[in-house]
Amino acid sequence: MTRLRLLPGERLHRLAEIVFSRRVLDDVVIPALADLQYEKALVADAGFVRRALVLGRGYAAFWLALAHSLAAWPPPVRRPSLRRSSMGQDLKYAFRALGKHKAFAALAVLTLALGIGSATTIFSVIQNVLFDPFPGHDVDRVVAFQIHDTKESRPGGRSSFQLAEFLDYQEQIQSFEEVIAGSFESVLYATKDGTVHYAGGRLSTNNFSFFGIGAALGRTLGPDDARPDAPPVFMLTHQAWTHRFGGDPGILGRVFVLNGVPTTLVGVTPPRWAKLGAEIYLPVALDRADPQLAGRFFVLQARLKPGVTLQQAEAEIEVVARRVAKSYPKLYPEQWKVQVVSLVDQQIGPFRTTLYTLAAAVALLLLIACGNVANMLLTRATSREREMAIRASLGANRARLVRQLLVESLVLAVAGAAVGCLFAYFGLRALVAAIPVGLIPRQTVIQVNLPVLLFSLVAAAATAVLSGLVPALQTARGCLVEPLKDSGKGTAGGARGHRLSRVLVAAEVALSLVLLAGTGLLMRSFVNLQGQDLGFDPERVLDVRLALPRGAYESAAEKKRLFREVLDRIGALPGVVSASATTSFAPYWAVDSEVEIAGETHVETWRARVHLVSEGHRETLGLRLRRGRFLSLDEVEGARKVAVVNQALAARYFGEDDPIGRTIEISTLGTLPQSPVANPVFEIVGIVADSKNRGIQESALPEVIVPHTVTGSFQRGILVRTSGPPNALQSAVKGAIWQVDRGVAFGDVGSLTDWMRRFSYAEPRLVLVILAVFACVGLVLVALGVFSVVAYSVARQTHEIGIRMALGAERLDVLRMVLRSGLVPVGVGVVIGVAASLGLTRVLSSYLFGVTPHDPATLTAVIGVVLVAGFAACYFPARRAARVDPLVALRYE
Amino acid sequence: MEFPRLSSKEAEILEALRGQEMFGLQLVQASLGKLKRGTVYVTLGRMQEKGFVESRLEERQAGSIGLPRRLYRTTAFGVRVLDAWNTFRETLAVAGAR
Repeated sequence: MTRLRLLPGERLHRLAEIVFSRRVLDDVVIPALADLQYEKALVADAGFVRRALVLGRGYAAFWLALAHSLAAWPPPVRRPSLRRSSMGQDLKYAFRALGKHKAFAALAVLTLALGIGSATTIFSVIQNVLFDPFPGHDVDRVVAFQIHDTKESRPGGRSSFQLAEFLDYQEQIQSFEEVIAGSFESVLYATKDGTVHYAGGRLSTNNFSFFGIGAALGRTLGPDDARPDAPPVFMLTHQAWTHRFGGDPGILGRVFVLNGVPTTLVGVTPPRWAKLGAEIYLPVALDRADPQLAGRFFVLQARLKPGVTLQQAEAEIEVVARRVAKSYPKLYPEQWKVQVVSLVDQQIGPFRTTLYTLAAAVALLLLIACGNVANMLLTRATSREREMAIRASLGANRARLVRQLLVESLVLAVAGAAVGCLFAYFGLRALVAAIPVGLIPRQTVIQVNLPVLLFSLVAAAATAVLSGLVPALQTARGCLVEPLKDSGKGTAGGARGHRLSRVLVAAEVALSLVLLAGTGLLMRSFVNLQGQDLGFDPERVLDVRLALPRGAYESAAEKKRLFREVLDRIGALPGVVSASATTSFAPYWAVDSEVEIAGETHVETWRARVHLVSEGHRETLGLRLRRGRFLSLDEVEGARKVAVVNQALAARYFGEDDPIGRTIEISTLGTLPQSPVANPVFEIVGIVADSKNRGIQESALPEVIVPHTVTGSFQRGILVRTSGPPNALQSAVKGAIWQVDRGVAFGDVGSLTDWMRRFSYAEPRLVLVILAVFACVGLVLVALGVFSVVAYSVARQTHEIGIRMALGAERLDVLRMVLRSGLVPVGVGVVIGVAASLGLTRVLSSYLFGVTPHDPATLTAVIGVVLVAGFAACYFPARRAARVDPLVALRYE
Repeated sequence: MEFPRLSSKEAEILEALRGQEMFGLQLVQASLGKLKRGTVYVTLGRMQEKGFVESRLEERQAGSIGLPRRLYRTTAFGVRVLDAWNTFRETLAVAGAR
């Protein structure tokens, strides 16, 4: 017998065995899936339309095969009354009954498909990102730990350690079975056309064996490669190999000049390997005596010994860290604690919460879809009372009737799951394309796979029960006598069903309101985020990150000469308004330093963000000068110790005093390992308005701006303000830099607005778009639900309306009566929804900016939208009721 | 002993498999529309139960991705039943013609 080895995890395997009988698995599920996979591989390179057609047909056939197999060999549920033959009969009858009402079946299937499809899409992302993000063995036990500054409100902390500190941890921590190290390294590859920059990584040579992963081509780095006398070798990532070298297998063994050293390519990593986000890996041996590695930081990852929990490891590392911190006090904040995190959490971080939020939203949507289908089934059930009464009078007991109706809803749900899987397939493509770079590990492959298909099956089964059970019980409980009479008027069962319909509508409205409220809050938050004052003008600014040749431009004088010449050339380019050099990456990163102000005493540490820039920085970034002046050309050229501070620094550290003319000491500049600034005390000459300097959501920290020529330390980038689209000047700016030195390579190059879109707006926009889609679909479903209930109620009450009108009721009275009956459940739903929203929107608080989770304006707008939709859904059937001709209506008798 | 029953679909499958091994998808394609993908696996499953066909997993090279496909072939019993049914039908047809 074939075991379903494709399923990752015993739990899912057991689930498959519960859902299907052994023979359905062996004879149908596995062969059908294998053929489907084969067909999928055949059309992998075909065009989109052909692939969609083939896969659509394939998935439909798979689900159909499943339905047939369930009919032939029912699931292994043991109930005395459930005979195989009768289950088959029920299925046949369900197909026939639904076939007679194609419009009803199509609408129900579409509704369920929207719910199940959305749920399957989000589950696919969760399954692939959270449960299978990395290849390799025992990934579940791989952890990292971070030193979290407890004064910092944001999560996370330092997870890389200086060599000696790293080795201390490695030697002292007992919870770890094996430790691996990795360190970022900028790699410059010299070609005859110029210098190319690669994101590189130095890896301890046990990295590949640690994960049990071999090379896709050639070999992996081994212990011998890190020996001091070993010939220099490196590995390429699969992505770099395919994108930069066209996947050429002949590249193996070729010698590349990397950072000035001839280095041989010995292997290509597998496609799902992207450690440190690097493209090139070089070997490293962690030797405490190696002076070149002394100041370098290494990311520490380790596998826990079997049986050791995260909490146990955290407790042990906390003790070790308190000991280690005493040897390296400058590397630790004032108050800190150790946090041990799994590899998945380290890589995915807060995106896990985002995924759970989306899962909650999609659950609401699925519930709305279930409520809608339950309503449709209830409506249909009321019209089938007569049929059920006949079946009951012929000997069918209640369980038999319930089962028959449940089988019908199961067929609907399975069909909904089939169409939903198609929706999920295409929805997932769109979603994956929309997920911003860097939010999920590059190793993660998001796709519809067997666990996902199983999920959709389970969702279908749950949907069938949720949407079918209540209507089925309702119908089977109905009176046997009344329906068998000839009268077409409503019965007791019908009245009960109608009450239940209204309850369901109220529930749907409440759920929809919660979804809409969440979406409304995110929308307002996003508008606030985009509309806020950044303190600088990011439009039409090109940001060029430079990687300077190793060994060159180490001193302040060399850097000054290079950047003067480069800035002059760039400034002369047509379309350039101004340009400046900077060590910062606005608005996200800047050098951090302790500061001291002469004559001021304080207990806590005073810190500031330090920007080392050239004279054109204010014009280029669009900073607003509040008082005094900015750095002049002479001051930058002469490396004068003058500084400009922001308003936050002036207010926090000077209070009411005037900072201009006072001095500020920037401690970090005096203790730099290379090119330190002697007596780093700067005279303050100006004050600029606050601009964002630690991401765009946080308020500005105190900052100080000084000439970049005072030190040769720190990498620098160039900011260019342009008169037209900044990206159009990329090659001209690169050309101007290469005219000065062809050995300079380029890191990231792009407009500031591009970076901000990527780092600050992409994730909120993604969550907003997904929630908006769910909320809109939910609202449409609710409107459909309200419409169907009111329309059905009008159809049943036609006779009563006729009598009322014959007795003198006006059309307006009828309109009012129907509207009132339809809007009451909507109103009840709104009240419940508002109460639920007040509680539930709190989970969104981490995504909100400039708006509270209980924002009254948003809630009012959302209530308005729901009421308008509810009113529109009631109005059209009500208008039809008001136009009833009393004579025709009375003929209903 | 009860005479084994053979449906038209089962006969179609046995004819297609006579002397060769085929995958489910191949059977559907070879039948020119007489067999459907939605039903062929259930029919094949039943035929295995009756002993008309047997199956094995295709041989895969190491490192192949995805599930191995299932290859079906007739059993000696399946061929005899098919031949018997064909003879029976021909006899009936001849008798009917007389």
